Amino acid sequence: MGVISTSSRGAEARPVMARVPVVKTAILGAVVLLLAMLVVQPFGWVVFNSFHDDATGAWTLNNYARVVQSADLIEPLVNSLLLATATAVIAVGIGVPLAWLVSRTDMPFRRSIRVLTLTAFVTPSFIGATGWILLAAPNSGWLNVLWRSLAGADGGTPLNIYSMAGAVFVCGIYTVPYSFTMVSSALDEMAVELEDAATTLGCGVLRTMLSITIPLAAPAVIASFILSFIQGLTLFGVPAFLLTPTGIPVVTTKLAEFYQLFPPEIYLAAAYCMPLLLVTGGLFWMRRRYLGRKQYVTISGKTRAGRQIRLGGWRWPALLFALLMPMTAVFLPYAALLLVSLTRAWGQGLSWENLSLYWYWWAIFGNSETHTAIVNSLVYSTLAATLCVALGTLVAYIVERRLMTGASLLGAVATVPIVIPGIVLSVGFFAAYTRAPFNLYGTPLLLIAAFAATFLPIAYSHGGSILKGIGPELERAARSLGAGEARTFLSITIPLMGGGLVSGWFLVFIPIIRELSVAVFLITPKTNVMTTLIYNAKDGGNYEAVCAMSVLLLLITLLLVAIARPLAGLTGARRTSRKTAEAAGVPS
Amino acid sequence: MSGIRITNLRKTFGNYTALRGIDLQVPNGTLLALLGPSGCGKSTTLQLLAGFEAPTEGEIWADDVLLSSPRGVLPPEKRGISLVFQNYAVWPHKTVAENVAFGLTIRRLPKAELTERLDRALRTVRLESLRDRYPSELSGGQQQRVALARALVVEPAILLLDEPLSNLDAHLREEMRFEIRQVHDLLGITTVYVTHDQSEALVTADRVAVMKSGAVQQFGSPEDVFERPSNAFVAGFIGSNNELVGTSEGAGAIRVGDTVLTAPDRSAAARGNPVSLCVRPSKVRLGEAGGLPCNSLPGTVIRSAYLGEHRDVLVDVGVGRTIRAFVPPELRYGPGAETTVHLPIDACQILAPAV
Amino acid sequence: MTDITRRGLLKTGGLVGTALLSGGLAGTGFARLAAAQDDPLYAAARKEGALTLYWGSYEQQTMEAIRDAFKAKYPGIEVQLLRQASQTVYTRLRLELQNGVAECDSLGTTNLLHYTELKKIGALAAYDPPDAAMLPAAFKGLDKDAMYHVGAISLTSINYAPGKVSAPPTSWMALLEDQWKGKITTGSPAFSGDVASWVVAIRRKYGDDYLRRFGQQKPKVGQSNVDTVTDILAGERVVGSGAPFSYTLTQKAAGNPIDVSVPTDDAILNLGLTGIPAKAPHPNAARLFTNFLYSKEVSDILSRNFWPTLRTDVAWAEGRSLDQMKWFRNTGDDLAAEVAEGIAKWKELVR
Repeated sequence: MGVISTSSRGAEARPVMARVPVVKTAILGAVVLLLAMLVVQPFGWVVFNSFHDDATGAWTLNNYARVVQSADLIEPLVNSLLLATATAVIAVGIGVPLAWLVSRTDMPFRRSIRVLTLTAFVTPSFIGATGWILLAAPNSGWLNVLWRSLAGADGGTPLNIYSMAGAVFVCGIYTVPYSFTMVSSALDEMAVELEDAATTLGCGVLRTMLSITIPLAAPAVIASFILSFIQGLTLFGVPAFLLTPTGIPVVTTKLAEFYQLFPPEIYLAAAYCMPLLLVTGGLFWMRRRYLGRKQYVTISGKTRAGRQIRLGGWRWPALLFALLMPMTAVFLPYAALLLVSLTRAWGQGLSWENLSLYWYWWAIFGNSETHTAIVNSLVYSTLAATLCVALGTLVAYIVERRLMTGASLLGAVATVPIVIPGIVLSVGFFAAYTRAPFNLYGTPLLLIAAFAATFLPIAYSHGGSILKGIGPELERAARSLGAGEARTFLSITIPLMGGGLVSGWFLVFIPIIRELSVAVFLITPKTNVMTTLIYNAKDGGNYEAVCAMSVLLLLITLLLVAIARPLAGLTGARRTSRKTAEAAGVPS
Repeated sequence: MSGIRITNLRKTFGNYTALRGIDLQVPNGTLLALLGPSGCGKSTTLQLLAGFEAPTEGEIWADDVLLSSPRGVLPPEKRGISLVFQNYAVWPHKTVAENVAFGLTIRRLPKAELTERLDRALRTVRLESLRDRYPSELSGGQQQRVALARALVVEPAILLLDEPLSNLDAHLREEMRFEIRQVHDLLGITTVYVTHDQSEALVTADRVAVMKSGAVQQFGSPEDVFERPSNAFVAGFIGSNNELVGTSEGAGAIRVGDTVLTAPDRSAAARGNPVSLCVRPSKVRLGEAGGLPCNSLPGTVIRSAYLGEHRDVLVDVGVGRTIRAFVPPELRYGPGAETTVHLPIDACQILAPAV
Repeated sequence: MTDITRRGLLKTGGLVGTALLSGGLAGTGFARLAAAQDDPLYAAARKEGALTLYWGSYEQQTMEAIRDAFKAKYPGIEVQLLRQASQTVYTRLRLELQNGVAECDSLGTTNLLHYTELKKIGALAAYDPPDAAMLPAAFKGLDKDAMYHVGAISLTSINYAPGKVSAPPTSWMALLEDQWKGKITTGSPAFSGDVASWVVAIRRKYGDDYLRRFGQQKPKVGQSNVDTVTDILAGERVVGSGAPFSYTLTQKAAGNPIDVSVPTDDAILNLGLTGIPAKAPHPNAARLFTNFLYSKEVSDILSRNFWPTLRTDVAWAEGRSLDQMKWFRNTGDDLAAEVAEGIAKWKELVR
């Protein structure tokens, strides 16, 4: 794109060279400044800390030496990589076909599947893990008990959730929504003739999906693989609940130990995050090498109406597959949570006398903290998600369209936060935002900024994969008609991103509302949020309250989604007027 | 409306040189075709003209306004240059009318004038009845007309067309060719038309610039480039052509293998340098020279095809060289027949290889 | 409420002799309010108008009850309660110190080392709460400079499922019997301070051999020792080691099938401490709250929530008391090193 220069000192002409475009420069400047404040600063503190000694505060390389040399620290890293890889494989392996079924085919109940996937997304993983402990703990898990009642007392324990397999399973099913949402919004926007080209060559439906549709959605598939991988790497709740009992340490549980020790080894924890950064950096590098050589424009200026692929006899088997995820991630665990939340004392088991709405009454009316926390959660998440999507989309646009030198550096910066586990990031945010000149401590802005920064990578990478699918000539056409870059972005690019932006907003909003660890050092009594309250109740062993509040959190978020969903439909990129039938008769 | 002046335009992308220093003058109101195979630099030239890329060297002027130089580029929106894209780039989220009116909205025209100009543009491309449709409900040709109307409605000083017909089927393409020329005749906008199709270029353009490997091979009228190609590449790219590669034997003579052939020499090559003898198959005669001074070569027919209006005969003239001849259909040559190939000297040209 | 009572009192001035008013609830309320208003510390605290508590001792419910009682007794002071895990609260305070922020007025955590460290860097203010005189003798005057005081007494014992266990283990040693193999649940010393204290104490009593044999019992290791209750209630395991005494009794009172067994070879006692940061923004309110901790009101709340009380004149729930049980508390100068060693040994021998 145009490198704009003002130095047209050449005397040979009256060069009408570009003035500095004010709006564009202002926006670029604001983006760079925001990134510096939101991301570079806190991350800088994490790096700075990693080079200091916890006890003396002196400069040292010792933290890194320990990370590299101590077997005690290497084992969790290996376990984490294993967990993350398996999580990503499951998330993509289930999420991508699911996305295809929902956005491309005539499978029944597609809308319901979308909603159910969001439901799984809303669930904080530690709540999912709690649900699955109730279901599949070796002795007491209801599924195991059911099995023994069918197969006899010596039926054994078919399911053991306290295992690597169990942790992979739970991490996987709660990460599927990431890949599902990212890939389905890419598929929604894809022109159907790309698939038609393959089917006319005698390609079967399945073959077309595998060899044309999915590879065309490659930017989204790869982005969702990386996000799922990072998710597996940075989740705390699931490994803490499911792997600690079997003695398998992972990075996040090890980090929690650093904070739990006395004196806490906060600076060592900072250094311990750097290998994660390295691994994820490697993944992004591989992505760039793979995607760099290909073109993935799926929305060009030449459009055809969308069309569904007919599954014929496979419609119902497909639905069965599609129900797998909601079944395991929503129905079963929430059934368990709901039952516990409805008991007055859950250890007494299920009986009519024990049935009670007490804990809901307690959560809604009996506890003033819950009120504030619910309102805070909603307000912070809404504002943070909006800020995050706005900034992430802008950065993605700058990077994809190379609007400035060093644009890819901006992209790298926007990707860093998610790789750092929340508890370490929390310390970075603390240092970055509580000092002068920000002095945000104790204000809602602190949490909003921290949440927005933490999930910026999702907004950025989602925005990037949508933009990769929008042909640049659609924007160039507007430029050549006299629209400046800012105007083009607003009236062409943003509407074309349309539905994808809305799904991106949810992709950020939901993780924010369920985020726990980043908030840990940043909340104050006035700025408490739902998840910290739920975790406190869990910490205090109040299971009935944990379950009741989880169900409430789910209901509130679903309500919001229900309100906002029509919005996504309104902004769908591929429109048709009422004259479609007439148009069908037009020869081409 | 303005004329275009391009001087010594160079563009490199990393190690790759897309343009090797081109010079073009397009007088006001001219329709220039940039013609060449893919990778020749024609699209890069167009992107530079539109202002989406900055030149590595050289300048682009519109009349007396400097548009682009390595020191700076006037942004696309300030140029008054409209661009029609190969894949139309019609915005799927806007109706036909909204697409076309976009440029007018940007210019904040009064409502009445906007409506009037919009209607006129839609009428020009015969899309009045489809104004409220979305692009997904239009055929390819209709979408192309939307793109054209959208570009024209803002009354640009210069119109750029990037392979505008390549996505259309053959029938529609021929029709649209004339339509584009017609619109040009009507409005007289200086137009640059990028294409790889020589017949499109010959039909529509006032001037043709033939490009290869980032350089302009020839810049002239359609008649010039067809009848007086400046080098062997141009001769081969435009129309059917026989090319015998050899070395110069001094002005007017070329050595092909053991044989020396004579022809009008437009190569300006020194003796011993590589040159080619070019002759159109329609000028080649078989058997009889017909009284014209000719270079004559003995040969054996390899293949003969009947094409109705003429017969396309391929003759081996030794050491792996072949000559194609279009002869009257009543002359029958079977494969293996011995004959003499006559190349009328006036129809032959000795040309240098491509720049 | 006190206002209404006082108004009521004035209106019915002619009935001064009424027993209900002079000897009943309203009378004490009036007396208490009068006493509070005369208190110069309350006056100073009221001028500050606010109080921020960073507490990890006691669970949310008990802490909220204490906060509400304080607000009721001392109106005009806005109380903010941040209840998080002890170590989190401490780390937060350290972060605030490092970044020059002062928010916390009263710190209450379960680890003595927090206070020795904070005292060393001069981050604590001295205050001698007069009502601490009612503390059990063993816990009085913990710091000679009065920088920190006992804020909570926490007991670690055995818990079990009464319906599934006919004769619960009565000592730590008894947990090593064959019958408990695969039946024990416990917390992790790396996550739970109470379990870490238990590991230190058990190594002092029985050495590493105990840990080795404990490991052979294949216990299920959760994070917090609260997880022992969860596992027992869910039916995953039947006996908990290093289990929380008070919390188990709370759950029992709520109707859950669980009970404690106080080991004959000593319940492990861990002290929660409290101190006032040197830069507390509301130092008078902080002092008022610290003294309030040793009031009868707070000990009543503790008793109701099955916690050991902080006054010798308030009995524990269910008539229990410290005198009835054998208990042991880790003391010493290098507890930090001992904890670290204990965790390392645990990882080597137990899992």
